[in-house]
Amino acid sequence: MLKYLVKRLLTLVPVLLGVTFITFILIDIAPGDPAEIMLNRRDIEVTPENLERAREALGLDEPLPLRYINWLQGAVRGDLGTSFTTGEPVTREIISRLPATIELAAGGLVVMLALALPLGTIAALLRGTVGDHLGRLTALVGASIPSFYLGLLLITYIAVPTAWIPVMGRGEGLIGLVLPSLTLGFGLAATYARLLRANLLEVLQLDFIRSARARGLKETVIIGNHALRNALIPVVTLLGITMGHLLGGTVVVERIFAWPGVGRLAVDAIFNRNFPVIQGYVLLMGVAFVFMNLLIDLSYRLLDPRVKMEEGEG
Amino acid sequence: MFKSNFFKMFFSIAVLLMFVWSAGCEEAEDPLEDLEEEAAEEDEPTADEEAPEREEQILTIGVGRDFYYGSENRTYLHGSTNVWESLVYLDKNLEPEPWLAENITASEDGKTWTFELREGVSFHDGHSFNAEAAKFNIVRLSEHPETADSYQHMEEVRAVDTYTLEIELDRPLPAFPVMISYFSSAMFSPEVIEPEGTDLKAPVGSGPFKFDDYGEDRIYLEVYRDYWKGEPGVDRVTFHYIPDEGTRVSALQAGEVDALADVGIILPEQVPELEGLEEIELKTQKVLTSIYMFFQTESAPMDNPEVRKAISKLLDREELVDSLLDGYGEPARAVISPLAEYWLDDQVSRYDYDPQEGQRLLEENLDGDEEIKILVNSSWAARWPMSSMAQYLHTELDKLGIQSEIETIEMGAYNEMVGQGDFHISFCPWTGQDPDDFFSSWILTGAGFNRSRGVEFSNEDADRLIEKAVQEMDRETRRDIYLELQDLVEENAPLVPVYHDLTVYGVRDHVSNLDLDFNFRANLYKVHLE
Repeated sequence: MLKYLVKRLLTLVPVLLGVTFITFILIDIAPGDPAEIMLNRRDIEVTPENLERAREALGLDEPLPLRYINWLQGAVRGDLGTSFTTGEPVTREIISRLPATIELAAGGLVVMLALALPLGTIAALLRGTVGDHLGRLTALVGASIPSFYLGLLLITYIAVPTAWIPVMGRGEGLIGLVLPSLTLGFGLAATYARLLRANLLEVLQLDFIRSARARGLKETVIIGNHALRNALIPVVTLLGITMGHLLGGTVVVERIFAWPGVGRLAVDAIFNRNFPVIQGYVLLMGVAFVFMNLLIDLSYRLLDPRVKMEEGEG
Repeated sequence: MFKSNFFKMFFSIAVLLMFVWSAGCEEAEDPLEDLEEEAAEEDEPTADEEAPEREEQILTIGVGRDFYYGSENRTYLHGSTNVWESLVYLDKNLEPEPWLAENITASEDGKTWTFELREGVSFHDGHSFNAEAAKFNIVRLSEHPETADSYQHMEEVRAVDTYTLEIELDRPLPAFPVMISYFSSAMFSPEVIEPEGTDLKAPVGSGPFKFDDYGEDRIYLEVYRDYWKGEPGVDRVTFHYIPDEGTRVSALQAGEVDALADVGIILPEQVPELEGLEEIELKTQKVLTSIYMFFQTESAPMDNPEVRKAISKLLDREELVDSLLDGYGEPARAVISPLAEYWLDDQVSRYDYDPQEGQRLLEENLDGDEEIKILVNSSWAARWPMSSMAQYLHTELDKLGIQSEIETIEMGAYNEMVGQGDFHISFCPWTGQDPDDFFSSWILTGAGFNRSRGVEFSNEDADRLIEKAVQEMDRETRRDIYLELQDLVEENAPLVPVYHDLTVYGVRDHVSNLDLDFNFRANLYKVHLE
């Protein structure tokens, strides 16, 4: 188990090296000179001299590989550089926004699971009935409605008239999390409910379910212990990817609810060609994805006994 | 069996979520909580002072951009925060209004400027404001890349006595107080100016409010009770950056902010939603921002001034303002803001709608096989109706059988494309003060915006006139030169104005005296909450 964990964590190194280096190259070839953007943003006249000075100050006068190596050396020491736009350390900027992002991601996931698990299961069990059609319709609406629109609807028809759920922002306790989580979770739940329904229907056709029925097991045991466990495996895989995405911030929801997460920080950084923040963000995303996928892989051990066997045999 | 495995699975998911959530919640310190605790501590009457308890008055203002700029910026925070003050501002006629300088005079030759400074002013750290402090700041601002231009002709700055500052220039500059107004003469405590370089350690100014904290898109300020004008009307001010325009308006309606006060904070199309609400007062203010249409003047067909003028004549500015802005704008009659009334010719409207003349000029000067590229900056288009203006122009050109394409791109790529001249027409906002601002930035050969926006206009007569006007001490003569320059720009049309901005902002009914000026700055000192 420990060996497996160490092995998986070691894969983090090439993944992070790869994504950060590719990002470095992509930002470099993207149109828009960060030095010029910075001068414009700060109302400094764009002259060749000012551009040269700005490039020097931002460390852009060095060749790309050298810049990458310098950045890597700093990153190993925990120094991700300073933001081009605020002059603040990138680590501080990201860390200050991470709690809000984690909180929103968790809130969104709770809403999503609370909606998707019962909806998907009921729709599969009631296949072809009114309940199934209603469930599928709900899923279709959920998947179709853009989150910015749902967010605005919730603000307009719940937050403004009731005045007890905040319209925006964090810092009002967990009540502030209600509308952003609903907005985020509702859209996600639609996809998951449909996926779960489809998987469950497929599993219910398999031989081992027929055998279980022939052995006279109760239907609740068959569904809960055998069918659902198998049907959840692809759902859990998708959950890993979703959680990685959520930890990368949800720009639209963050914007609508003035939520101070990393998503908006990253988008602003991309528009400003703010290399250090983009790199720091990519690093965070890489860690989030690898870590979440590791957790998901570990959770397979609970869902699928074959995973244990393979590891045991190996 | 079912129960144990099923519960195991949910238990593991629940543990995972709890872990993730607690990580978020643990670190999620609520800055308001700290403030409230602090405020509560401060409010506790001591044995010595048993003042009657008064409810703390907190003003929350929603803004559409982050007012926190950081230590490398010339002022650390936006001027609207009222944390710092300047030697000089501009009054409603765009004339210099001495502030921390009580009186400003020029020598006869216009090269020596004397600033008599206000006595009894102190910075938030207790340091006195005097000529030495002002000198320290002027030296910093003259070296700071964002303000160095305003001081490019400064030869020396001297503290003549405790409250007299003298600035020596290498040439007469009649508009010098205008050039250094607001951001360019912001005063901070010398204690917070880094000895090396131009960074500020903290935003310690002399304004009615002190900087307290910044976090999660909010700037927290507290009252400065020793403010030189007297104690301000509220105890704390919070600026909350709310990026989404819809959310901003909802926050005002729900009472989560007391006011929305900044340029472009309420879009014209949002006005009907707020009109008629008893608890909200909508206000408007003419601001110094104008929207221009500019051309890449170096290559065909826009190298021909007749083509540029013709395209300008196709714009029905009245109609654009009415239909795109619901009337919240002023159709442009000159390149300079109408707020700078003195420098304009009241009798002349230079940019009238004349589609017939426009059509005639285009037919005479175009082959008919050109394709016009209209470039739109998506960041600006989110705040001003530039996409609609581009669409309007595209339709007008189409009616005349002229091909055009609209390309909308984000800021980084936009800057690169206009810088390389890879466009024919584009739109931009621009905010200026003195007429020299406009001509020296857009018209002078090789000047900042003239080059960086890809206009690349060059005219020897214009260069000569700009150089002459900027040094002309006689106000009337200077005005005549600027009128001549406006004729020249009208005739050559490297860029044309479309409309002058009018900003809409809103306050809740318990807030009094919160007004924006033409620089979108609110004087928070006089604000009261009922």
